[in-house]
Amino acid sequence: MSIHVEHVMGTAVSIDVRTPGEHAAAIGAACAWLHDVDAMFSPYKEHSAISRLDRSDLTLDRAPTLVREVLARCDDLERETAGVFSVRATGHLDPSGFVKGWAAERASAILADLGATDHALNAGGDIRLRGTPSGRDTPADHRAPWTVGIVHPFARDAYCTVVEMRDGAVATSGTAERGAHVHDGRTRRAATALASVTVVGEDLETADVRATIAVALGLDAPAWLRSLDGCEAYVIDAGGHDWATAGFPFAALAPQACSA
Amino acid sequence: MRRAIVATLGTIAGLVALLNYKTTALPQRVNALGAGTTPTTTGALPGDTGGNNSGGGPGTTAPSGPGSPTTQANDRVVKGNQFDNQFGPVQVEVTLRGNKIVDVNALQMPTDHQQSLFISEQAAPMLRQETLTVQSAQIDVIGGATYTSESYAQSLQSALDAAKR
Repeated sequence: MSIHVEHVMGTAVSIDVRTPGEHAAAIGAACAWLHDVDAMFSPYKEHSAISRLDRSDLTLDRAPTLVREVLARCDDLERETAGVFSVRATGHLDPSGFVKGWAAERASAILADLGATDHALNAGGDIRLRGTPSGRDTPADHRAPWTVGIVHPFARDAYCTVVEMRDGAVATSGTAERGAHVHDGRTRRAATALASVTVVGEDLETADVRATIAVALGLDAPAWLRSLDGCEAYVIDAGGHDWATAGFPFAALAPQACSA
Repeated sequence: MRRAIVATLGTIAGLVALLNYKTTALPQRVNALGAGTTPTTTGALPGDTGGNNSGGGPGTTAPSGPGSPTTQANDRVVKGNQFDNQFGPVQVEVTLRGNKIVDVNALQMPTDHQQSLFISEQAAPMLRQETLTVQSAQIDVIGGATYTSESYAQSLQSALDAAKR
């Protein structure tokens, strides 16, 4: 068992394949995909299609198909959220809020297609889980979920909670680590009311977008999250209050420190 | 049990320090929480407090409902030591039922705004942290902190990756 760490898209992507056997080709293909995405979409790379579009060096009709698809999806999201999610919230074209989760979701699909069916892919704190942590396809192992520690927004060396999941995605967004990096597209101001929003769902693209939107919504987020199908969420606000949807998959870990 | 209480108060003291820090770092938060919340009872976040404990993070506080928890006969009130942070003296008292915190009151706080932060719910994340730090060995993967390529080296995921490599 080994974990591959790839530095790409401004973050570190950890790929932990548990399926027995050699998976270098699958991991290589997934990483190549992530680097392709980075080259196309990074607003920090001068020659990326996104930077060129932002400078009007490139028109949308001449942009790569993938770029057009992603921007069309982002436009949909902007409409669906009445402007809360916006690729221009910072004043520049920046679809990063969508691209990371979308790219990681596809990277996980590439791994599975090439035989690495049991894996955890962690793209800078947003996670896609497939198969089982044991890598064995037996009924007993199917009951064993992955355990995901969610880093506490106020204490980076501790968890605020632990999630148990089989196939699915766990995405967290918030003001921790990088400071206030989510903007409310309605006001273009940094969103600071929520310290951490963790969204659990079937795929990372959706979960990541939902977590980002929830942070932008601030204190309106719980009502919105509750209205979504197939969405479980755990929220900590800037004052340390927490809130969760009824079905959030908290791990049932035995109490230790408090039972001494 | 005594040890648990001491640890808990330490945690709350740490939270107080963090909250004070965040107040100055993020002035908007005062508007979001200080002005808009009802002191001591309702959370700043809308919604049911029942959700906090579904599935049960161990050692989480258990407010009995959306309102302030009702004091019961066997509850114990423990007063924490006063300590000074950069904004002034802080002292809290905690109501315990069994080994769970059911209420936290600020006896001394540096500013008026802090009072509204001390509702029963707010202790939950830090208590989970206290408990869960112990159980890192059971964790497969670590989410939450959105780390950059540079900050990855200091992340918990980095430590986990290194341990398994």
